[in-house]
Amino acid sequence: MASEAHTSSTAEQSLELPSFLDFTGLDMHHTYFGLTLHEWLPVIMSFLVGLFLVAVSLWSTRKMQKIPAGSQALLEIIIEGLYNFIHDILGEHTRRYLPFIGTVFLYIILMNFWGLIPLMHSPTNSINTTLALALVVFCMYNYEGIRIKGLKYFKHYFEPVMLAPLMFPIHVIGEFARPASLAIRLFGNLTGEDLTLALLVILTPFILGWIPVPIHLVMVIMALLFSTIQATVFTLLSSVYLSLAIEEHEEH
Amino acid sequence: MDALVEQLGLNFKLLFIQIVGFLVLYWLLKKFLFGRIMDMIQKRGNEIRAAYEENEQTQNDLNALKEQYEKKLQEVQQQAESIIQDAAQQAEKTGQEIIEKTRQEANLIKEKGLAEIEQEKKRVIAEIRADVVNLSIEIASRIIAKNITAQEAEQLSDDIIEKIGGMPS
Repeated sequence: MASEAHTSSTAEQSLELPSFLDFTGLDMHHTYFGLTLHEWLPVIMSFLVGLFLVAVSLWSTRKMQKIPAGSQALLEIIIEGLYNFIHDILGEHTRRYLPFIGTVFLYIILMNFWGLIPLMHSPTNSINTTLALALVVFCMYNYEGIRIKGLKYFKHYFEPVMLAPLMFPIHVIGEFARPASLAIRLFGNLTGEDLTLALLVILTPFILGWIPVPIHLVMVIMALLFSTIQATVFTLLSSVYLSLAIEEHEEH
Repeated sequence: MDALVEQLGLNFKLLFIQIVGFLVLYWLLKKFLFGRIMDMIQKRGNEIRAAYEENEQTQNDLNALKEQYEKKLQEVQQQAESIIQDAAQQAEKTGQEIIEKTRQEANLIKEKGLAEIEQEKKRVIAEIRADVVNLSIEIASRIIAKNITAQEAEQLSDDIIEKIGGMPS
């Protein structure tokens, strides 16, 4: 298994842009804690994204002002925008779930954009990152549903009652399809995006020799768009699943 | 299945780390970003609402005060008008009285003056009469060269005075 992982990672590496770790002189195939450094890369990148988010948060909210200015104003605009965005779905519960949904959105959109920074990689082009997020969302909305509705929450697995034996497995599969689709959608999009970018950059020398022609620039602009869309879709679907889990009038 | 997992690069160790990482990030952002900013937004909203309410209250108070003051001002104006009217009446009355008094005094003075004049006139006439008597006696005695009695002289002077003066006595 280890050798297979190794080969697959080397195969991927040929289509990846270099990360800052490639310039530290460390051997990307050296094993740390049972995984190669190359496999650790998404975790390192996620950590940097998280660090960036926390640092910005701390720096912007270090002395809150009644009249917002600078980064505090920017964050307030973002958070109020997020609030209004999920308010349409979650209604009165918005305030309770805003930190969770907001964290998901900010984390994902920053991870998506992170790959556009030279020498950085999007952690979301690894299935582990996206599946981790999807599983957290999955556990979260199921937990909230059970917390609010109790055992009644499981009622919808047996509807319609006449077809319960048939419908139950379908509902269960549908339930597990949600995190899978969330994770794979994000992973696939970001992987494709990064692959395209890498390909275009690799192709650059074939146009005018070593005179750089930024043909990947179009893809960068499109990547900005797709990254935003994917983060929005993930957030939107998480909110919808959450609202379906906690709403009382569930008829489907 | 294993092949699929392998192909996707799924690794449970990394998955677990990412889950823990996300939870830690959630905790931190909830504490330092969403908590603080939502609190601030709510606080600001409350403050603005309070300010608006206070503003309205103040406006109402102001309107009430304005009404009160307008009423008072009207009262004061009325009072002032009545005072001025009273004063004018008083002044007119006083003026009239002064004029009346002055007129009376003037009349008194005039009468007194007239009386004095009359008295003086009488005195002067008496004096003139005495002089004329003496003078006429002198003249008569010299002209007719004989002495006439005082009674005749007086009679004579009275005639003369009557002829000269014709004045009302």
